[in-house]
Formats: sequence, structure tokens, C-alpha cells
Amino acid sequence: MADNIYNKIYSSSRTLFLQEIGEKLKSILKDKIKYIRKIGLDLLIVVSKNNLYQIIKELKDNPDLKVNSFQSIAALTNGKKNFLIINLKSFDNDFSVLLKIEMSQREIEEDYREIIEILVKFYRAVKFYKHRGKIISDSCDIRILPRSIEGLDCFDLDILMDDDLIRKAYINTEIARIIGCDYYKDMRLYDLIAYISRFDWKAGIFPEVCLCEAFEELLQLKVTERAQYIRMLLCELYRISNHIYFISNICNVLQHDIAYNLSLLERERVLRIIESITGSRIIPNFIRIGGVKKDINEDIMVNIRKSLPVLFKNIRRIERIMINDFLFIERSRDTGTIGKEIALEYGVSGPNLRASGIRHDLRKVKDSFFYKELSFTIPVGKSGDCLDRISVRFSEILQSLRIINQIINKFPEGDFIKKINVSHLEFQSSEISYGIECPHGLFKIYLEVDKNNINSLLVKGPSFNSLILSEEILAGNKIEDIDLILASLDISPGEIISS
Amino acid sequence: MSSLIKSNFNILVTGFGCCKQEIFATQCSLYDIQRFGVNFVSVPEDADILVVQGFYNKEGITRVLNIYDRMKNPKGIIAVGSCVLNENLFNLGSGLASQFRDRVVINMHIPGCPPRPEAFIYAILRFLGRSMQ
Repeated sequence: MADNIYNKIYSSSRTLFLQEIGEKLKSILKDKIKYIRKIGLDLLIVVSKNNLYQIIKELKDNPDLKVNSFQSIAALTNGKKNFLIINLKSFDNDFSVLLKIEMSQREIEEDYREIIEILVKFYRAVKFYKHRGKIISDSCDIRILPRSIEGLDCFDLDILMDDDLIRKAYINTEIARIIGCDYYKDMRLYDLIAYISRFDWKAGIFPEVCLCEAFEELLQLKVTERAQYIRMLLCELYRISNHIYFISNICNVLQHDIAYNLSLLERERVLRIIESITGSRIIPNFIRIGGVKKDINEDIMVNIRKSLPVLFKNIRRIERIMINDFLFIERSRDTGTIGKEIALEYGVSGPNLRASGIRHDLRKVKDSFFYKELSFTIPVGKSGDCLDRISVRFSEILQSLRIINQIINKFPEGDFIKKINVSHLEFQSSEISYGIECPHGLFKIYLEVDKNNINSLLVKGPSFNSLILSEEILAGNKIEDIDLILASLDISPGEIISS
Repeated sequence: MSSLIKSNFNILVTGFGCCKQEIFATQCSLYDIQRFGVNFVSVPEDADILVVQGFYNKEGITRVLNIYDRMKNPKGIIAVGSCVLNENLFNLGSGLASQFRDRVVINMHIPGCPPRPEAFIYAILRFLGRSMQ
């Protein structure tokens, strides 16, 4: 018990490691930065715009740091000040950096292009953020508007052709810019939990878990073991549901009707279990700060235990049907290949990264849940083509079923929530960044709180990085493969609206 | 319209949002919307009904109205989910949804965030029943 509390509050080796890196950065960058601090999973470095070039050059070129992956850039306001947040990551040394540049709104508008120009010199992925309206309208051969398939419905695709091959592809997400800048202002915490699952509606539990865990980290609150197990169970159920929906999308693109119907049927089976637990299918609104909303009773357990072998059998059946279809194999093999280096450079995470052959899963790295007590493997692909991305997800479904089986057998007794009065909660003025392994990759939030107000909130899903990367991998492919490649990246439109 | 809809009823789903997966879930053999002769199409000229759901910005609304103009008569619109019925959840006060409702007549509303697949099937059947009377 004492060990548990200690590990939660001072999450041991990870914290020490980040502190060490922080000290190292402080000594290397010295007077170029204002201050450096560890927040959650990341290191926050407050810098001024004038030093940005030198800092990024040092971060990228220093062999001790090797910050070689670009994650995201976003403008934020906390009511008083405006600032830009640039998220960079080092995969070699396994740490992530948030560069915070404080500027006025006018300065952001004027200097944004200049900052992007600086970043482009170091990271190719930043090209996406450049103003490209004129390039596209001048010289595009084909424009593909949003289609009705989920995931391909939130952007325009402009293509330059070279005979029947794609020479260059541009993605334009203008249609997905629907989000108001301060929707979270004056919102109660419970309302925000209900809201935030819309950022990833394919697997709605993950944003909720991420937000609640961030607040628990701020409060240094230890959640009961039973609540953690219920969270893990729901996470895995949603992971299965998301992956089956992904497979149904692939079948829809390839017009594989048998597998399409079977996969939708299995998804219903999983959604019914989720509904029996949470009361809702898509938007659960189930996680609370300190635990979960409701306990799981014995009937539900029996139901899950009965469903597991059926699910396992049926998923294997769908997999067999698809793998035995030579048309499916021929179309997906060697299409849209993502190499290891380019995947890391563009900040891709989750199954898309694992399909390229990199064994990285936050469930194994982080020690917030009880995943370390369960035995499961992380499936990886070899070449990173569409076939690998599909087969990795099939394997992940089977691994998730294995995890659920262990969770049910180990389900502990105890309280499902630590009751705290959220309306009277007061936080110190602080900021936190928190991440979780969602079915598409690393789902991250950054928030600033002061007393009982949320001053700023940034939600960053992994799909946006996959979408930026798709511009690169579409080049050289045939036009009929576009839908298959984009569908195989498992883009969640909810994450695009937040960027 | 009732004379035209005997055995085939084509639906075009636009927009992006949580409701879409619930609408497409009606295709699975558990609900099987196709037993009522209802198909999902992707060309506006083929569609009888336009389903409007999810988030729209100004550009999105212009495009949807464009699609609606391209559809052949008789035609109708079904609005699904809270975002179109009330207000965009992430941009309260933008008033885009009400602007959209002012420009076209919506034949059927399906409330919910998102509505269940049964609700969608029920609405379609109500729509067919109403037009067959």
C-alpha cells in the first residue's frame, strides 16, 4: 500500500529521469531560456522568440538530446496572456519538450509565419502549417472533396498527377475548423468531462480518462484499485470497438461485404457490453475525478465472461476471411509504406508507428494503471504498409481480449470512487500536460488551472500527425489506392477539429 | 413522393460527427436497414434524402446546400443529433445551425447526442409512412 502511494506521488524512475534531463537542458541552454519545469510527462521550457532558432538547433543537433520529432504547434490564450506552444519529442532519449513562447495576439499574427520558417529548417512536418492556399489553387489537377467514409470526411485533398501516379498531394483541413477558441471558459468541471469525449468519438472513454488523470495528478490523488480496473476494462473494450470499426471501414473501402457485415455485428456486441456498464454507447461520460460513476455488478461480469470466447472466435473468423482473400492481400501489400525514420520524424504514434516496426506502447512505459501486473504483448509489423497496419490492429484486438480476461479474473474488491466535492475544489495556479495511449496513438492534453477556473485547454490527438504524414506517403501511389491508404491510417475526425 | 418510393430509398449522409457511426451501424445485420429498401449512396443525383449531422462551419453549410441543390425532386432533409438541432457544441453562439435551418426546410429531426440506431430507423420508417399516406 505504502509502495503504491509512493509510486503514484513520486512516480519513481520516470520523474527522476525527467529531472535529470531538465538539469542537463538547463546547463546546456543556460541564459537562452527563461525557466524550465517538469509538468506531468513533459518538460516545459519558456523561451523568447528571439532565441528560438538557437534553442531548436541545440535541441536537435546535440547528440545527448536528439530532439528529432515534431509533434504539434498551437496558439493558446489563458485570459491574460497569449502564447504559442510547440511540442517536440526525442524518441532516442524518450522525453518530450513543450516550448512556450509568450506573445501578444498581434505579435502571434505577425510573427507566426516567421516562427514556422524557423521550424521548417529543422522539421519537414512543419511544411503543413505554411500558408499554401495559392500553391493549391494554382496548380492542382484533381480535387477530392470529403467522402462519406468515417475518417475521410473532414478534409479536402488536392492532387497533382503524373500520368496515373500521384506526384504531390495536399491536404486542406479548412472544413474541419469549427471550434471556438474559448468554449471551455466558465464551464464546470463535470460539464467539461462530458464535453471532452467528443474529441475522439471513435473511442470516447480515452479523453475522459486523460482529463481526469491529469486532475488527479494535480491533486496528487490516489485512485482505488477497483476504479483503476474498471477504467482499464472500459479502455480495452473501447479499443476493441475502435479497431473493429477501423476494420469495417477498410472493408467498406474494399467493398468486402461479408467481412463488413460481420465486423459491424461484432462491434455491436462490444458496444452492448459497454452500454450495460456505462449506459451509453458512444459518449460514455463515465469517468469521474477520483474514480468512476458507477460500480460493475456480477451480472455484467458474467455477461463479459460469456462474450469473450464468442468475440475471440468471431474476430479470428473475420481475420481468416480477409487474409484468405487474395484480392485484399494484393491491394494492401506494399501500398502506402511508412518507414521507421519518417514515422518518427512526423511524430506518428500508436498502431501506425508499431506497424512500422517500432515497439512503443505507453501502456508498458507509464505506471499509472495496473498494466504492469497483466501479461500481454505489443504486436509490431515489419514493413509498415497497409497490410501491416491492418494485421497489427487484428493482433491488438486479440491482446485486448486477453487483457480483459485477466482483468475479470483479478477484479479487486473495494470502493469504486473516492468522493470529493468538485464544486469546492481549488487548485494552485499551475499547468499540466498529460498523455494516454488511445487506439490511434498518444492522446495528450495541456491545461492551465487557477483556483476553480480552467484558463486554457489544449487537446492534441494523434490523428493529425498521421494526416500530415499521409501527404508524403500518397506520393507515388495510384489514385485508386488513396481511400485505402487514408482509411488504413485510422484518422479520427474529432482530433482534427481540435488542432 | 409515395408513388416514387416503392422499393428503393436512397440516403446520402454528409458532415462529420459522432452520429455518423450510429447511422452506419444500422447497416449491420442486427438492425439491417436494407430490409426496408433503404440504401446509402454517395452521389447527390441518386439520393432521395439528405442526412445532415455533426459539425459544420460556414464553408460546410455552403457545400451541404450545394449538394441539396444538385439532388433531384422530390427530396427531403433529415437532421440528426444535437449539433444541427440546437447549436454547435464547440462554438456556442456562432448561430450557424439556425442559419442553416432558416435556409432549408428540415422534414424530420432526430434528437440525441448521438441518437441510437433504432431512433434513426424509426425516423426513416416514420418518414416513409408519412409519405406513403
